[in-house]
Amino acid sequence: MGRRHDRVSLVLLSATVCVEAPGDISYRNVILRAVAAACKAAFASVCGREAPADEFTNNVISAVGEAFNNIAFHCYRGRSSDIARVRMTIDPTAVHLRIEDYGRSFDLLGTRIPDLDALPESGLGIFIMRSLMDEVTYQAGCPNVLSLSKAIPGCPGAPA
Amino acid sequence: MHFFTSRADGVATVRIEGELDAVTVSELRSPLETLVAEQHPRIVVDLSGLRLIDSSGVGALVSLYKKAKAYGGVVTLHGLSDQPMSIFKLLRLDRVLLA
Repeated sequence: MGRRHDRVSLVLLSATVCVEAPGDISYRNVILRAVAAACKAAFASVCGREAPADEFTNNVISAVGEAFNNIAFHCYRGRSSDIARVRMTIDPTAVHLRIEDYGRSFDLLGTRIPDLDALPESGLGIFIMRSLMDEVTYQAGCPNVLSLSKAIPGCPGAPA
Repeated sequence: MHFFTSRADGVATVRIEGELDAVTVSELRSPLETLVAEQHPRIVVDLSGLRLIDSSGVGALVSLYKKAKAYGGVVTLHGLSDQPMSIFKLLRLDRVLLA
């Protein structure tokens, strides 16, 4: 008796990449390059095409960069730095980032919107994150968790 | 990040290439302070080779602009594109600083 071989399809519903590095500013580029590379690889496997236009990836990189700056300069300021962990999940509809640290927490909701007309030289990081990402939430704790999400434009497979 | 400075006919030119961010911005502070101390009437910042900027990099350029303005000098930036241009537009700096 012959055996029947059914076709089996495997659909990758999402891709998750996790990168961890010391929360020291000198490791900023390690994190950003990993996030950029993960974007490219995950889009191909999950969305079946190349990563969206550079603008989308640049926006993600910009937001993650500001988050990492915050960890290095504020969360771990005045103390020996612990790790910073970035977990990025890409599904057919969005990129989700979970950024963790074990340093000093901050009040995301209490962060003032900068007066751009006054040409501020600092305090722009949170504003940049909030402007470039669709969702920004923060949970203080051990670890502190900053969550960023951004919808992927025109990705096939997104729910109707 | 690489940067080059030159001076001629009352114009100081700074060309910044690569990534101007929290890691590299400290390399630029002293050269920019020197330019300010020299009180050039005009400072041109060429950013056509700049690939990436963050809030720290923006802060350094805004600081240069404000310090030059304080002595009556003019700072203009040109050559921005891609991610740096997106950040400048987001912060509405394209209206003020770009040539």
